[in-house]
Amino acid sequence: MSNYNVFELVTHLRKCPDIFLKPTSLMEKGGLNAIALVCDTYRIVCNDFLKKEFKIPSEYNLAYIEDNHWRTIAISTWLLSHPNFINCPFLEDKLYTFWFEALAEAALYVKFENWISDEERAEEMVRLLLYTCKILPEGESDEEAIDKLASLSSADRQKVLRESYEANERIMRIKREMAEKKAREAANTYGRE
Amino acid sequence: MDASSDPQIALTDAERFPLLDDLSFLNTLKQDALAPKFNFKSGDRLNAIQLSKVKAYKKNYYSTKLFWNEGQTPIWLTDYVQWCFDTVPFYQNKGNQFDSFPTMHRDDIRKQAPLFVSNEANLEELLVYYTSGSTGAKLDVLFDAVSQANWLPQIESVLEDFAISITESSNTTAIALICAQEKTLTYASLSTYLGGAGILKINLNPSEWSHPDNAKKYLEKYKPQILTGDPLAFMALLALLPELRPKAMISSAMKLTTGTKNKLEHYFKCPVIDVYSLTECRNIAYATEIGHKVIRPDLFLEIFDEHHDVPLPNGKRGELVVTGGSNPFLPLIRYRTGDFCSLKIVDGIPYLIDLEARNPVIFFTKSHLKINNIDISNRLSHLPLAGFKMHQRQDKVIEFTGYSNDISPKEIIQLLNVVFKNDIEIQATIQKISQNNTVEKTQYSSELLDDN
Repeated sequence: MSNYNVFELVTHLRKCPDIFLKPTSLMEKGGLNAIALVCDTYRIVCNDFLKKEFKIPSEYNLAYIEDNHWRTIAISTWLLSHPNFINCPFLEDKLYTFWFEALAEAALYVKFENWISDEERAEEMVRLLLYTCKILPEGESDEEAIDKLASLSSADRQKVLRESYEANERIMRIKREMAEKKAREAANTYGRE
Repeated sequence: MDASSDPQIALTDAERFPLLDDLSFLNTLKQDALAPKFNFKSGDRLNAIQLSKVKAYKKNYYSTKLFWNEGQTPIWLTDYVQWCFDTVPFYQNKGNQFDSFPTMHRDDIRKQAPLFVSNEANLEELLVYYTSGSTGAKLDVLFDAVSQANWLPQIESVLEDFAISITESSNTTAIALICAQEKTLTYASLSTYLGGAGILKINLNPSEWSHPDNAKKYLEKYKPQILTGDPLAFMALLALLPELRPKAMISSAMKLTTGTKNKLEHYFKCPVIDVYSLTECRNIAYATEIGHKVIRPDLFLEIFDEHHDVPLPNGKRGELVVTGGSNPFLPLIRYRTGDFCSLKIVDGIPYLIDLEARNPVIFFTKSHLKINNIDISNRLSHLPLAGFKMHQRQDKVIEFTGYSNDISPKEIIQLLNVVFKNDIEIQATIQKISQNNTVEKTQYSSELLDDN
């Protein structure tokens, strides 16, 4: 039975101290040392405080990470400080995917402070973490967990909105083309209908 | 195309005929001293890819016609429904299971035409056809050059049943669409699919010709192989007594009575084929002795209860419902045609039995005996009527208007009295067919409700 209670983790996340919301030192002098924060989180999760080598993006790729994404990562390190994640070495190889892939996409649509101020976004981050780490939330089946994440997913919601926008744009274009083509010659008619 | 939509001439010949270099026959047709005052221009618009699609359509569906057997569906249906579900907005929230698919009707297309356009359809290729709504509200039908040109292989397959083929050559007129209306678009054109053969759309209305005899002489000179039109136009043509020997005449848009058919066949010495077609999906079936023989294997036909979404078994009479077609701008799934018949499969070919356009109308004798309009149609079919309208008033009096050059109101009254068992009052008028008619399609109507 999983002891990863979504409600409890959301509550923990929403208590994230303001210090985690600061820009990183990569963006602003005197900011958070994001790389150190990530490495410390690795150590806490692995329960190996002497370890020095962790999987992080190359310097080249780090330069492309935007401020909102960094701050989202910083907030997630607070979430990962919950006792549930301490001394869980099996998570180590999943955190890279969580920070630099899953959160990279989500950060495109969610402003960093909303991960804390908005309960739904907080739950989305919790569920995204659990899903990426292949952890089933307490009391939920695989299907339930996937459904709940899908219903919260900002990326999915944006995809739906984008598709809906594109569909609407196409309808408008068809209407314009209809009006234009109706006024012009079409093609041979061969018989009566 | 209804004249009131006023489309504009807007293309170059290169856009009308992307694949035809030699337009000399087109110029001959247009510039002949006998030619009408063509008021429009038209082309088939087929480029190389589109022409190959028309040819592929013919090969795929008409080299061997495969329909479906009783209790089965055509092999293409599952993929077609899935494609509609994946790419056509109107169908996307309706599930992809054909068995439970709801029906839709003309109003859906009329009000939401853009939603029927597949996301895969290239809007650069969109063409719009405007119908006047002679059997319903006005409708914009969206299509492309390919689905329009597919009319040709469809009709070629019908002509094959009569051992007739269209000669493909750039110095012959393949088809002449004959109209006898107050006003319509007229043009001379060519068909790329038919090797550059001529296509004419002409109006017999004398005001469109510099001399009244020119319509007759022009047609005699260019000898169209196939004449298409409605019974009124054909009877108007017959009245000119042209020396024409077409290979076949394709009648559509209005019911062709046996009397009119016999008269036309006797004069023109060729088969007169009564084709059932809809603007929404073009040709569907043609009349034979046992019913309307279905033409197109790319259409799946079902019969549904008029009021409920319940498919009926073969043999049961109900509303004809169509699925399929080749138009990416209007793919149809379970489209209610508004026409009624039963379905019968004979030797693997579907037939529409007792096909009647639009809602069945019940008439009543004075003593309130019900008379079905099918019985009336069957009786009237023996007369050389090019068309008719029949209406029953609240006081049960029948008002009948027929179009014919050969029969009198007295004959109509006699015949209807037989159907109504001499228990009816009839007011009948017969209007002569002219070269510029303004009549609507055959129709029945009644002010009396069928109270069962």
